[in-house]
Amino acid sequence: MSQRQDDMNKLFREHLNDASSGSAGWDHPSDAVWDGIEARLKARKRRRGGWYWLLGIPLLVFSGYHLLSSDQTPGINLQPDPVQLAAPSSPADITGKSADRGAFEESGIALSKIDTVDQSASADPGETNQGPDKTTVAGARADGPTISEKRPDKAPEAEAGQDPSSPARAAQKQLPEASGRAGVEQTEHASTTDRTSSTTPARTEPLSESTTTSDLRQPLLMIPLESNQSRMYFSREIPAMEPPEALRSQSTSHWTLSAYAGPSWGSRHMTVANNRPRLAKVLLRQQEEPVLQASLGTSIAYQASRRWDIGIGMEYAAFLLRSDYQHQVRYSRSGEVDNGQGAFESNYRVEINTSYGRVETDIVVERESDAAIPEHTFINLDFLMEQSFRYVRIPVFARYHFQAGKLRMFGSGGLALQHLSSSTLDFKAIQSMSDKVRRVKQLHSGTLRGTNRTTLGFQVGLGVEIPGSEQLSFIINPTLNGSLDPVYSRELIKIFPYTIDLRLGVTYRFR
Amino acid sequence: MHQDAQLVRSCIAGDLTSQRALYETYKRPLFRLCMRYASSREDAEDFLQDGFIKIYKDLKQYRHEGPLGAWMRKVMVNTILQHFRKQKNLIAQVDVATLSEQYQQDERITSGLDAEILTNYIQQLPAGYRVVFNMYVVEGYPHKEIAKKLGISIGTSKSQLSKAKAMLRTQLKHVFIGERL
Repeated sequence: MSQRQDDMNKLFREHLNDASSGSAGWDHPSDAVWDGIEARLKARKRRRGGWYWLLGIPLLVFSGYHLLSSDQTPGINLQPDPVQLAAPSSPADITGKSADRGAFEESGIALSKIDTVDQSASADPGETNQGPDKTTVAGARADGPTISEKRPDKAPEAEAGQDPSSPARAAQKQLPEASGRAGVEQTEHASTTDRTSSTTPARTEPLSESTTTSDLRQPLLMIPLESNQSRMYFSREIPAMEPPEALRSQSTSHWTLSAYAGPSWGSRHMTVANNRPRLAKVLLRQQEEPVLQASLGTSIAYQASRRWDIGIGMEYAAFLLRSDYQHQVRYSRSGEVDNGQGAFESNYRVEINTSYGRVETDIVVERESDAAIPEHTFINLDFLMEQSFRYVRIPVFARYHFQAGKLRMFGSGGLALQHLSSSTLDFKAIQSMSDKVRRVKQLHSGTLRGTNRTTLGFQVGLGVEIPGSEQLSFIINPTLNGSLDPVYSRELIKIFPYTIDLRLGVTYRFR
Repeated sequence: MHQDAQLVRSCIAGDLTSQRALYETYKRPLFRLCMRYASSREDAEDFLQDGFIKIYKDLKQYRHEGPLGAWMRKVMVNTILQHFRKQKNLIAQVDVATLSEQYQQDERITSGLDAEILTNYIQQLPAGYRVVFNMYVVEGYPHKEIAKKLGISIGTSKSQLSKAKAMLRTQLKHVFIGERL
């Protein structure tokens, strides 16, 4: 290192470390610094002691799980209508009476009987009668819907035309359907008993005499009627819940397509670790004014259940932020240059740093030559900035449909990938407030091209669906779009932009 | 030394009065340091606040092997450098139009170098030049260590220092002439 450089370094070190030099108080931080330190120290102490409440979280989760998992599904008819269970006068009544069968079907109880029967007595060509035998008690809901089946229930219609006087025919119809039905338990019971106890074909065999009506009233019970005889299983079937008429249209397709557009109002949420006000000497005023813009989008959703949809979309949103700043800057006559037109000019380099980009430019401040000002003074400069942002969003969402009085409504929520596709900044210095320096001559009005940023956001909304036709409905859906990631993050400052869109659109349900 | 040890113990225990006493004792030299790294007084106060929070947090690690002030200074510098490291890919300020003060020859300079004025000139340097200048000239870090701490190359560190000195030399030309340097 050259001697000259060593000397310069030494010079700097000596003078910079000289605590006695400089104007009084220049190296004293403001009182606000300690206030901020104290606040953060106290906040840290509070955070450390507050972890005990976390122990309650597992308890809440456990309780919630138990509450939600208890069987509260409406519509399960565990107790058949006593009227419908009037004891048949004869076995034939059970096997033959469509009314009784229908009654059982309506009550949602499926009856199936596994019996040990005379294998050789089987006369149904459709039945395989090898080894353990199966039969279904006439009157069972052989062709109705089960838990795993969907409606509509065709059984009543199917049964309506049957000749009640033909038990064999009824049984013949039932057995193939029963054996093909999902959800109905059919087990085999090895026959250990006298198979000759019954001489009738398996499917027409009446209930054993030990079976009583009271047994039929007790679903989900396995009743050993005889120690070595048949067992009866009652399977519980939950009638499918018919959706309220107003909730959904009668479309059998699960897909919907929506398109919407509307006004959008955007702004940003800033978090500042310390709320110390900035020194007035540098920044005198900062005001922001969001301006209304627009958004539009489309989405496709799948009807996952009667009330829930899940979907994905694509949206475009724009918003404008107008800012007004007033800066106070040092002005020194020694930096002036005579422009030869009766005025002195001073150059200022302006550096604008924003959350989305940066621009540098120069402005010129003019002072009339006959205006007397001190050697050093301060002047105020006003800046007007407009930042416009354009986002492309891909939301993944869930919608919950419900009825609120006469209104069909839905709540929606989800996450979105947000990409800031462009941002521009226009600024200009507009005036000087100083008495002496009256004019600001603008050399350059900067336009900023911002950096592109992709962040994760969220959406939450509440909507009203107005049916137009069976497949088409109109939606009004105010939605809040926020950011989970800050678009700008420094140790003390984080910025989270958000928009509120009023979406007006249509939803089309595919057939 | 004994007094410092007692103060440190009280601060570690979380005694706010002791923490305030530590702050009042060391705030001026540390604020001067912050002013050299910052581009404005308010940034310097931000650094000072963050640095003291880090000092209180890391006070348990102080081994009493050297002066407490030197240890605190090191923590303060590291806190400031962490800020600049984070800023590498981020924008420095939030929608603020800042005006660099005119590079002007202040008449006070001719009467001798002034810490405040020197600090002001250093503050006007671009951030990269400023940090490297402070670390090399004032703190005495070698280029290798500067490069490691800032995540830059040794060549960049040297180049930034050279440019910083060139800019400052322009401002202080008459000073050097006056000092025959």
